[in-house]
Amino acid sequence: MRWLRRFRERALWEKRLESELQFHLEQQKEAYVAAGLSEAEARRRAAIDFGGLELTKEECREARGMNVLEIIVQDLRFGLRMLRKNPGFAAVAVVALALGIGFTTIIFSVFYNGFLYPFPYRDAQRLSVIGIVDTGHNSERFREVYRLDEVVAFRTQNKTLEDVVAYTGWDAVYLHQGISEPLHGCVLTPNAMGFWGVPPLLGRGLDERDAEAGASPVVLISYAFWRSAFNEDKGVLGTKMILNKQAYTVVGVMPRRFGLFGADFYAPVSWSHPEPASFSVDEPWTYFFATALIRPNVSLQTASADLQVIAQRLQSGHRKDYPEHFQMTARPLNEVIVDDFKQTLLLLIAAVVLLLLISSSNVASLLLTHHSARAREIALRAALGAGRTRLIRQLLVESLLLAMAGCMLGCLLAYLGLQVIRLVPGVGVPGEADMSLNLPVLFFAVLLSLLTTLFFGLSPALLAVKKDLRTHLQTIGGGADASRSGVRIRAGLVVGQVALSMLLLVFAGLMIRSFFAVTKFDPGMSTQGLLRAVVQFPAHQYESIEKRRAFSEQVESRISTLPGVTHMAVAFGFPPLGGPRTEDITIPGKPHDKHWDTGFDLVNEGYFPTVGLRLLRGRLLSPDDVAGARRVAVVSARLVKNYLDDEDPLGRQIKFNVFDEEPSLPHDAYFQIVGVVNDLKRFDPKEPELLPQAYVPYTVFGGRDYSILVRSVANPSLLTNPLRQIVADLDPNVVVGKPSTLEDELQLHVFLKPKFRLISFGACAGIGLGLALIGLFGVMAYSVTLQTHELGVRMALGAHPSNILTFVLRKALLLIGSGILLGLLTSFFTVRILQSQLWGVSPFDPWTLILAPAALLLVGLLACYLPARRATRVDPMAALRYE
Amino acid sequence: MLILKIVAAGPIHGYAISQRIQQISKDFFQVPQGSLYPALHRLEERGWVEADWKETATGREAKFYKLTRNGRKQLESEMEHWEQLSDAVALILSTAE
Repeated sequence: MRWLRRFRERALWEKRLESELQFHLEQQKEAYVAAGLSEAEARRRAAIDFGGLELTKEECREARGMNVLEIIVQDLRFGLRMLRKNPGFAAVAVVALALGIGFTTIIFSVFYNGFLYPFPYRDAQRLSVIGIVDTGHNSERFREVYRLDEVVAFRTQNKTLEDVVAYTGWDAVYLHQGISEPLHGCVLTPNAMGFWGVPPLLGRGLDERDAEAGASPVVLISYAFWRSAFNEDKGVLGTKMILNKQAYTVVGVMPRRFGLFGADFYAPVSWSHPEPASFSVDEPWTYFFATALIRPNVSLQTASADLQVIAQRLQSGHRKDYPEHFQMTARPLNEVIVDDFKQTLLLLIAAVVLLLLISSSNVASLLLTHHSARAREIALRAALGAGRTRLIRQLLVESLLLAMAGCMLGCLLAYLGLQVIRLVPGVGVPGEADMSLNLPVLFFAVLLSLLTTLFFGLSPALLAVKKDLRTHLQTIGGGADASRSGVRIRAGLVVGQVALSMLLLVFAGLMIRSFFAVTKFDPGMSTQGLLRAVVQFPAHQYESIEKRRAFSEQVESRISTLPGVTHMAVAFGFPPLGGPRTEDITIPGKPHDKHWDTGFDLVNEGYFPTVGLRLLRGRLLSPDDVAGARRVAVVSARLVKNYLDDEDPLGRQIKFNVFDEEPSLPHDAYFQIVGVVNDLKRFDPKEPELLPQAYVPYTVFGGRDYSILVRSVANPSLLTNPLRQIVADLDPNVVVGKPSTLEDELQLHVFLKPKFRLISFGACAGIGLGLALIGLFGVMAYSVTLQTHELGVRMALGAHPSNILTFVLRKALLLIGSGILLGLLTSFFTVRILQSQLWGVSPFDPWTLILAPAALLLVGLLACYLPARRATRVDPMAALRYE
Repeated sequence: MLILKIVAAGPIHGYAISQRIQQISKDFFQVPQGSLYPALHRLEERGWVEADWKETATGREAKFYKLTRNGRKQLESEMEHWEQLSDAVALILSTAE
């Protein structure tokens, strides 16, 4: 450890060197004094004789030789000192780097964790969903669910799969403290625990014995349910839950990330579970989803072909379960859950890359400016004998310091940003995804930034060092030609930055317009104060329509006494979010080739006032229509316009073709049109056209469950518990599904994504704009400094300050203008890809395309105003003397 | 070699060395006095001279250099080398006439 000891002794050594040299000087001075010189003159002569004191010290240090640690410490100290001298430069460079690193890491982490590998399961990359594609029918997906005997066949006869698991939903009624609550459960085959490879958080998993006949019924509960129903009580193990009137023992709690099927609980099902003889609420498990774990190094194609052989055999036994021509497919699990949100994220990645470009070009331009400002210093030091390697090393250390500070801040930003993203409820990302920091991505971003900084930090240094010292010393200080090329590079960088932020601004502008289009969207009805709840009747009760109608009337009479409630209705859909629809209708006298797509709903007479539909012609459904299940219909204005050519619709007959396919709906039934109401627009960006709509009495439906809509002038979420209580008082066996308000549904399903896009693109554009402005400011300030001499001459020749201002601003305008033009040109070619993300706004939205450049121009000129003002204050005399 | 030779005369401090060099060479070497010190430190680093802090005649602390055993050997070998070289040069000069 000799070098370490030497390092520690260093301070002492320095002190000794100092006193040794001082001693020499003193001696020499005294010699001169003795020779009769004055004290001051003696000191001067002594110093002259001695030569450069610092230089000597430096050479002594070199003679002594420095070890690595000493060199590093010295360079670090020097680097820090240089950065402290330019705190503005250092801060901007560090922030630019940090933003680049932070944002890239955040977005890529979200993409990776949300879409590429969102699952907590073991070997999730090899998991695929087994599906059947109808090759004889446009390659449509035929089905992805199977009877258990099919899954057993896949599992035992394959050659390419490690294992196959089957699972399906089980909506059970949970009786708890006298109130029936519907739970969303999931039944799993006995191999499931090993297959998914996620150990339970508490207790034990399910195994073979739990699924055997005669085993005591057990369930695993999900983390979310454990939290909401049991308040994270660790004593939950062993508790009995009454599900569908049977007691199940809770044996385990799954961890937070395990969210298979979004279920509240998981129950075992035996491989030999018989196909239920008839459809029953208590055991509805007929079809199961099948997920396969493909063996390592087996392609999806090979696995699909393997499954195809098995399915061909199965087809011969069950002709009607398979299309005539079909193909088995194995789709990666993560591909199944990706939706249009993936595109949002892809766009966001593009935006972040743009941002990264802006920020790194900013760092580059900053470093260039910084180094040309220091070129004189560097040349001077080189002239004074500083070694070239030493100079480069010091510049390197300085750049490294910057990069490291930027990286650290960037990591912090990435970490905090992801913490924030975690708070945002699943924006189209699977609930199981864990938004953790993606270390490889962070590493990559950090490395990239380090390299950028080092490259731009060092290349001007190499240049400055390489240049002939004399010319360098001469050229610096005036509006020299050598620096002009530097200005050009920087001007190019700034034009690029402005163009990129123009592009980001256009993106963000479209997102903002789109968001406001969504929130201002008028569906033709009031979206406030509407609550919907699904009512589920118990098995073998309420069989007759009279009983179900009587029940809804009892609920209505009680709920209308609650404060604020104005109307209640029975319906199936939830306007204006959607509802049932039929691909085609039949109207006598109106033959047609195309499909007449029509929405419909099965409603009672209270539906129209509850939703707020206005009668345009004829009459609405009457209580007698509903009580008597009369075949009458009220249609929307659009239906009359589109399908009846605006002829008088009253008295016309209409048939809903989808009814023929449903056992519980009247077949071959024609409904007489008795009235026309206004149209409702659906909150669906992919369906800009109004969908023709019809309403018929719900009593024509033989099925059991319906939903009720309650309109209130007060906050409808306050009605949730009273509604539950009313239903429980009437009949505790009737289940009220989770009531939801229209506003909440809109927030979650309609507004959330545009809001997310607005915020993320807005943030990107804002930061990009800020960085571009900093770049603009830097370049203008630098070019004003370079032109000080020229400006001085102009002013000396009589130029008015306002002339100077115009002169400088004209230059700025040229930079900003060309940047904006370039950006607009690029956006014209690229906005098309935004189409799917937009809502009621054209990608060539004139407001965006006018306002965004105007805003950019304005703030850009503001950023240049300060340097321009400084230019007008140039003192001609000082400027001329400066030379 | 010059410095080694001067230091060989006994413990001596830097200022005195510079005075000796000037004196002996009769101002032939016009070098800044400061450049002596890096050379001294180099010699010290190589282990040919060693230094001690002692009081001078006037009662001040100064760094005194003296030759080490290695330094003496180095001086001898350099002297030898130099003599050979100057002999050779003299020989060439005398025979070339």
